[in-house]
Amino acid sequence: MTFLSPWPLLLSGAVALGVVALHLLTTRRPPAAVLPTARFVPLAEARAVARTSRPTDLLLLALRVLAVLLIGAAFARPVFDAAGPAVRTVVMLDISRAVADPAAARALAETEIGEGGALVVFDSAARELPLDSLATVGPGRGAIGYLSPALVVARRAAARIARGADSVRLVLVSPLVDGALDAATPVFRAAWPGRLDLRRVAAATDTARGAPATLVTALEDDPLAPAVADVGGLRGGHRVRIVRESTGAVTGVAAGASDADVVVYWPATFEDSIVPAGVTAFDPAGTGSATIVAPLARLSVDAAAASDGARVIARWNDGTAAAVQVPAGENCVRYVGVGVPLSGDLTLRAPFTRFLETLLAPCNGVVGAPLAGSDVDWLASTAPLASAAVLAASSPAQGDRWPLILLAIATVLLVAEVFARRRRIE
Amino acid sequence: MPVGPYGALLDAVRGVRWPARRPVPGGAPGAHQARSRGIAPEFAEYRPYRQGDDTRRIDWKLLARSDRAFIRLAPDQAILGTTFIVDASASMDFPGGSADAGKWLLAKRLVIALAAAAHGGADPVGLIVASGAGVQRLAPRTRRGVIAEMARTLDDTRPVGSAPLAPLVPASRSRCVVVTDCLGDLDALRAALARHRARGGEAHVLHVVARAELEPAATAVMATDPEDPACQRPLLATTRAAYRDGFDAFRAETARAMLIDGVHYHEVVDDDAPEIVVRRIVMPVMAR
Repeated sequence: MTFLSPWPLLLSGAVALGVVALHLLTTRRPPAAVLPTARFVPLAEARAVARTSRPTDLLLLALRVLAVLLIGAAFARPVFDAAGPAVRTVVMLDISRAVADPAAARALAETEIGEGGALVVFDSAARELPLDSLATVGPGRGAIGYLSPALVVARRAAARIARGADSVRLVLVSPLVDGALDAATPVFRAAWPGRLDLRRVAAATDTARGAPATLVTALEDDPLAPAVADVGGLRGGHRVRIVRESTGAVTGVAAGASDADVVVYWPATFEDSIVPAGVTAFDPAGTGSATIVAPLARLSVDAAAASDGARVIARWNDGTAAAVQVPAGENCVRYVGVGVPLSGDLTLRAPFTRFLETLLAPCNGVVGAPLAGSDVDWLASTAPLASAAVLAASSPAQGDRWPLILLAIATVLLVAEVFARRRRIE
Repeated sequence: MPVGPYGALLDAVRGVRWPARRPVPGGAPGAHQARSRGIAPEFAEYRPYRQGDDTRRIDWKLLARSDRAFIRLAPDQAILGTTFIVDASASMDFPGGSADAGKWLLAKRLVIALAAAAHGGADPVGLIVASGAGVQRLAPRTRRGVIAEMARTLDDTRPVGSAPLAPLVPASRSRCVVVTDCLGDLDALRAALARHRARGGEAHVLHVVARAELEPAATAVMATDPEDPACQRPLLATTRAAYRDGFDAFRAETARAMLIDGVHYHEVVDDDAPEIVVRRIVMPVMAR
């Protein structure tokens, strides 16, 4: 048994000693002694405090001491130690598309994790998995494994497995590509009370370019055509189809049935609705953005934004949605509400090319380049392993019923003490 | 004279005499100056002859010179009977369990020593012992062996119960010595001694106090009066000072009242040396 917060137990021990000391004092009637001049003693309360060599009222003393100790033990958060090694390991396994060889990463995690450890897998989100599922865990859909949520889940898992251990080792198996770290990562890293063993694996960076996007349009001189040509082969090797129709007019082009990984509905624009505006497109992985400021037409994407799983991938400067991505199985459909003027050279400018390339990114974003070693060295440190006691004490012992059981027993003892005291008085 | 354990004490007070504080009524010849005039060799004064006087007491030479008959007078010496009234109530048996100390032991020693001093002056000495078991009386006598008889009587007495002392005060104009702790019928005793004093007798009160009564132990006890078990008072740290004040006031008031009544009051503590106390009583001026 381990006490996560031993101070209440020590305090209750001191209180119990005080109770014993009080039982060595008795306030009973003093012993009678002959004194012929007793008549000159003033009348007073015939009770005096006296010390005794043996505690009085052993039953009451036992009940009180036990109750005090049990209350202290309950607040000391007792846990029964689970069997296992003294050092346990939490492995954070990156399962995003940034991992070039997921099988090798799994094998590395398996060698690191050991008995009694915990497995945390993460890409755009993090979750803890049972150890026996390590062999079957599949690749995630996210382009990048984000470290911050992984650290949070790892801390929670470490608090769970820390009971009964001396220390906990934290191992990160990830390629750590650009975008894996964010502003919160240093905070969560600092919250881990020990060192982090970094095991970097090969990254699958989306550097190769595949085929250019396919533009389906009824316009003879579609202004998007030169921009699509400028973008050229898409980074990530996915296939994109741009449909210059409204969604209702398109038939037979379902994302699942399409030969494209990404279908972009981008209606044409009426010239009279164009006003100067700014719009920013975000890479779905959150690694980049592109902004254009030009005469543009605002087209509504509210209907698409109301779909299940819809997420905004471009916003007007006033915060309203300019483009929405809706998942469709393994693929996705994007609805763009940015009206491009049919005339002018907007689509020929470099900002628009970057804007278009961002809108044509893979559904889960583009995998960035691996971070330099100097950028991630601060993650690891020469600090000792995290103390299991610190980890366990910082987390509430969920599911532990022992404090409640001890408090219940203490309550029963206190009730018994009341009855015993009444009986003694009678 | 078999006096048992009092031998050393009697040796210590040997030669001590107990003169009367004032002329005693006339009586049998003794060591005390009497109020009457007698025929002792020492000349005191002349008195005109009156019919009925013994003609042998006429100073014939003065008659020849003055032609008037005078009777030659001389100071008279008389005895003074001394009666010891000893309080043998239960309160005198304190502290119990000690053969070398305590109020009762001191009372016995003082009585024997003072009786010896009085008896040494040819005074008859008597004893009255009052206890819960009854009253024992030894009439005043001058014969040899009276001291030993008093010692036996006292040694055979065990202080128990309570008994009033006032009725035991003698009606004669003798010396009355009351040995008590003044915890009994004190008011009645005072009145009786005042009457005895008014009759011309001499009264002494030896107030016997135990050291343990003056300075009770620091431990908390339920003080119980041995003569009144219903009287139980808690003697604690909080009440000890008030007890001392009350007892001191009682003793001071008793001494003052005795002085007003003309009673010779002596407070003695059970750890006092009896031979010194005896000298203090019989020769108060010298002792001071």
